[in-house]
Amino acid sequence: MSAIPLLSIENFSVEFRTRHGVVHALENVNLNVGHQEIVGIVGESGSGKSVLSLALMRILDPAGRITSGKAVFGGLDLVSAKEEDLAEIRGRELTMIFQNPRSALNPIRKVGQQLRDVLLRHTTTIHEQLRSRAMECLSMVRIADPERRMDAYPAELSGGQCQRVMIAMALAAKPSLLIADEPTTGLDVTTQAVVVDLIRDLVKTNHMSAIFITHDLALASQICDRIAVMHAGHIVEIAATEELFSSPRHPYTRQLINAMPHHCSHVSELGAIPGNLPDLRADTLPPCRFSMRCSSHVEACDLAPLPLSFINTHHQVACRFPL
Amino acid sequence: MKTILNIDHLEKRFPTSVKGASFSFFKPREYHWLHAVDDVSFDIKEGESVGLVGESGCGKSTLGRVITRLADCTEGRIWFDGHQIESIAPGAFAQNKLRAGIQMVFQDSTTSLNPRFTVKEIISEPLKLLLYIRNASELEQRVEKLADQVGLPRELLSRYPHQLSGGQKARVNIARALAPKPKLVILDEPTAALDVSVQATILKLLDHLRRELGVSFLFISHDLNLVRLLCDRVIVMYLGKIVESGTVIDVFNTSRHPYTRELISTIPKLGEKAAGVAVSGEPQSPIDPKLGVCRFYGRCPKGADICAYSQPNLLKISESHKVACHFA
Repeated sequence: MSAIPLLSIENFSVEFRTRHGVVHALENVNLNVGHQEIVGIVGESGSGKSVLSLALMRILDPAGRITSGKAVFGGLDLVSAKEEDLAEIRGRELTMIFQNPRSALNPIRKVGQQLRDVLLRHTTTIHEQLRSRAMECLSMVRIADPERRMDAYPAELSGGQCQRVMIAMALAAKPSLLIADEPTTGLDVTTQAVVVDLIRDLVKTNHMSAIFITHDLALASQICDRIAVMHAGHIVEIAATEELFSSPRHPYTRQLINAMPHHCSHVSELGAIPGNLPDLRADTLPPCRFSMRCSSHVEACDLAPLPLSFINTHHQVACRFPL
Repeated sequence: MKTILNIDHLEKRFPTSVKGASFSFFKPREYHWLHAVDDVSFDIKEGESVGLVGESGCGKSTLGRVITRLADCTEGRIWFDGHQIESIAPGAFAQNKLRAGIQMVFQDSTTSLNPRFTVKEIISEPLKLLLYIRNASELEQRVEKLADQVGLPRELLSRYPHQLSGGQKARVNIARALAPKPKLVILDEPTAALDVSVQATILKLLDHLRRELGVSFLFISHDLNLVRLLCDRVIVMYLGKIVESGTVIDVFNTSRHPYTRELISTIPKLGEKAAGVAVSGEPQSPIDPKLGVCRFYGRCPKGADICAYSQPNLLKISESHKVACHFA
């Protein structure tokens, strides 16, 4: 990692105004993404992973508001940037792969046309070369017979192929940062393995960086250099992948790892995490939002604010009593 | 142990499009057939938990629906608890006394619950319709007992499905399936939409219930890890056919079919970088599959000439272990 990160998120907070009160979806999130680095964000559903990615792209729902913080991407603060500037960056420098490829693709336009739209808008490809460039993009994501697939509608493709088309569209303009929001949910295990393999290869060969959002720790461990664990709108732990699994320091991370069926030989060994995520609409949330579910919770946990602090150069944890 | 379910050469084909361009009143129409389940035989013993794994589109959910008699089979026999049930029409089976014996937990816990019913009404529905319990206080008692069994707080019984979390909805689904005291429960990816932490509690609950009530499970999933933890035996399906079956140890430790091996190798491992993927390409089309060609041919790393003209049969290689591959 070079000294200046590609993306640096500082004290990032997001609120949603709803009929039932203000939801504090993200609070003081700090995260850096270095050059040519794949950072994973894992956590339960509702922990704010997708909100973070949408807020970075500034495509949050109108009810959501970035209340504080900075997100500096290549010298530009994404939070305060004007919409015109963002429009130049989105799809070109900063791109995103969405959760459900079928609903993210336009159902009534051919796959090839959609790819050409991206190329036309975000690259300097001249008109005569559009088709051949689009075909190159499709073969880059290892779609068999790209010539024929160009004229297919999304409904004619399988889920895995749709996701590949999404990846091709996201990478068409050679961005410097790719945000992949649960790109393999809804895909089969075999397809999942292929898609993850593909994302990792393409990101590494194109010297890009990526944020890989997933709820599957095992999947994150396969692709990411570093992993940030989120819980209820806080980042509770950031560590290099190997270190996170060999010595998790936050109780939540430990419990998440224990809840994975991978290392168990019997159901009884599975560790379940007691309780639910706290209600993020509450006026006063404790500084540690995990305190209600934590077994080593003491009174001191509810007092002072709890920043993410360094344990060593590669490992940050937000816990007063790290394991 | 008594065999509770026996499936004998079961086939389920769906007609898709009509063959040929021109229609004639005098010739019977010929269809292209989608072979969803193709010549499948297996049995489930009392109290046993059997896992059914495979990619989406391999016919595992269709097989579940045929066994539950929500769909007709095209050919073959289904024996349930000593009765032959495949000839009973799906509509008539709803009134049959055997209906209570086979229950299903559906894939999507949200859409499988009636949004206008309260949890109590949802769970009492099978009690009323299948066990003919009409007494309000007895119904209430039964529902509360079921709620306790699946770990659903009693105060949630008056709520509607949209007011529940994903894990709670999964519990309601399980309670509804267990309500008529079934002998066989078919679970179609019951944890697919759940978080790991919630998934762990639901898996523990399912395992506990099976031991406590002595029901048999057919656990349909694409997640091999869950099957490994929850099941005694595993059946691996590929494009409508069983390619391998055996005990969990047979299939996970000494798998002999290249597809099973591939499935096992694609399970992401904690804290380990992925190995390369050997299987590439898309599966063959299930519509009018070529006879005499191994279904995995073309994607198989071992594929040889023999696979293109002879379809391997499911053969025993040990007492519990069966494989359908020329190179097993």
